[in-house]
Amino acid sequence: MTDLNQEIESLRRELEEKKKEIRSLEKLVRGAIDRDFPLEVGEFSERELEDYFRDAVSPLKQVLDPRPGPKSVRSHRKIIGAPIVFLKRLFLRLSGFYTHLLLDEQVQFNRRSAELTEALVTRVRHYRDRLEQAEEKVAAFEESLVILKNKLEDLRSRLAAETGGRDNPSTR
Amino acid sequence: MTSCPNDELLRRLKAREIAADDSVRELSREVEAAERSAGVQAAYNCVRRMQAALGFRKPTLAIYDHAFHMIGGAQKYGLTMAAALRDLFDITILANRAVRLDNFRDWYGLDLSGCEVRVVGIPFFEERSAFHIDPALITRKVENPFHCISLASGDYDVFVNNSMNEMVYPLANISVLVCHFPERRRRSYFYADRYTFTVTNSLYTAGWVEAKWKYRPDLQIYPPVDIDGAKTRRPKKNVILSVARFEPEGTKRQREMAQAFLKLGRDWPEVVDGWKLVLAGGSSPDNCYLTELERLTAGWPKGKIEIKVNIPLSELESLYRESALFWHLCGLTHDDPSEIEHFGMSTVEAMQSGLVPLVYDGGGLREIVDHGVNGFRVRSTAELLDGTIRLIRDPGLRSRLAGAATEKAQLYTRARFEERARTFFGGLLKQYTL
Repeated sequence: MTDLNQEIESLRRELEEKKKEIRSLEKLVRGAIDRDFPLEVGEFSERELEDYFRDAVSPLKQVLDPRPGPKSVRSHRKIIGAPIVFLKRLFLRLSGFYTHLLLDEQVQFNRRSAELTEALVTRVRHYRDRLEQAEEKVAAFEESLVILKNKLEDLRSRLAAETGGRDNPSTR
Repeated sequence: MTSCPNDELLRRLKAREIAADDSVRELSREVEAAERSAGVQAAYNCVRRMQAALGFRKPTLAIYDHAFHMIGGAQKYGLTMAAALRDLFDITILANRAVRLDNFRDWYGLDLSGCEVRVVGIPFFEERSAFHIDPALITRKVENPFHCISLASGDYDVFVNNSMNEMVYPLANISVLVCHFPERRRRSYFYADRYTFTVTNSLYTAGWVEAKWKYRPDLQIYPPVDIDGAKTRRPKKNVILSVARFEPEGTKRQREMAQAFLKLGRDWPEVVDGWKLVLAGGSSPDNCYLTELERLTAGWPKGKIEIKVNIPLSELESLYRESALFWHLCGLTHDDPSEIEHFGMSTVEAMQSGLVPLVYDGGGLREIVDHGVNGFRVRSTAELLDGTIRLIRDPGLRSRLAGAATEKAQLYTRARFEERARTFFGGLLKQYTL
């Protein structure tokens, strides 16, 4: 068994060396490890929704206008880059009138949608604040009621003790 | 669990049914096949299993927590588990910040001698000089900084991830995720379901693992709770105790408890005459919530409400010994499951010390307190006051519930925890080494 032990140990060392050389998890396990998951918005709690609103509403305004401008055309190619960019920009200028005509309505719709979303989120926040205030008031009333109920029970039992149960309404 | 080397071959090797030369040849073939089909890590795991199964060395177990350098209930859970498994495994405590075994003795009274501490720094957090390593900061926009821990996990037979961090990909032969609560939903770098087993600290947590992560955990082990104060009983005083951290967000609901007590004192002073409320807990410096709480209680007669911040353990034990009732409202008016008590260690400590618990009816507290049997579960401050008035005015009921609470709390002792952990890991080891 000693030989076997040594053989296995040398095998382990050899593999350990190989492991050290490979620092990527995907290569180590020979397969992809990351996956995409759907956003389960329908299952979100109040706090998760609030975080979602914060992260999702403001970026909406940044993508309102999908119309390409000449400056959006760039190239990283050294020699042929400049003429390609020139031609593309020229094409954009020439076709700009038509594309803008088509996309104007889309931009307007996007803007209104973003405004509406923001307004709805604001209204939800207002309602939530008012609901919290109402809950606090209800809680205070409930506390008062509980104290009154216990006071009443206390009075009843004292009265019953004093009268020997004769005046206790529950025994009538 | 790994299928390499195959169980049949391993059994024959153990029984020495194969000649030495043939053994080496067969094993090499198995390892090569594993490498070809599943990569170097699978081959390495195959070799490690052979060594452990053939008795050439003791199996190894690494337990990881990104917060081992801080005091916490979850960390106590993992380290108590490690202490219980010392004779089964060679144990390594895998941390991200320097920490000594002496720290664990001082913080939790745990003897971990013989265990090794391995510190793997995470450059992402070190560059930011962050004391607290917060996995919530990691999105798909940055490279997963926990991959260095994933790589380290592949050096052991068993890897236990005790942190609330599902972004560590397990590479060991057997991997166990101890989940104290699924804080985040499935998103970038989610690997919780890649672990061989998932263990939860309560049924409440188990339910949320299923709801958020879409798979069923394998086992549930309640945390170990043993409060020293419970061993020496003293006559109870008219004290209502609450023990919880003063969270700046107010999630532990100390303000609501103080307000309710003050209201009772104002509307019906005779009933709480001679009673006081003590709010004890830890706090970070410059805590606005604590300042507000102190201001709220300042106008009332001295001693009616006491706030005790960062008190030593001996003082806390003394408070447990002397107090009669225990309030805990964490979760009240919250709808986010992470803000509701996942288990409730302080409630168990109180019950072990003979206090009658009045706790929020939600989260892990539902598993601990049986309404009307060993305490009261409440859904509002009104119900809290109702139960409190009943208990103050009926010492017989108080004594009966306190007795039942002490009895129920025995389900959560350290001895029980260790027994469950040893049974589970012992079973795994048996399968692993045949």
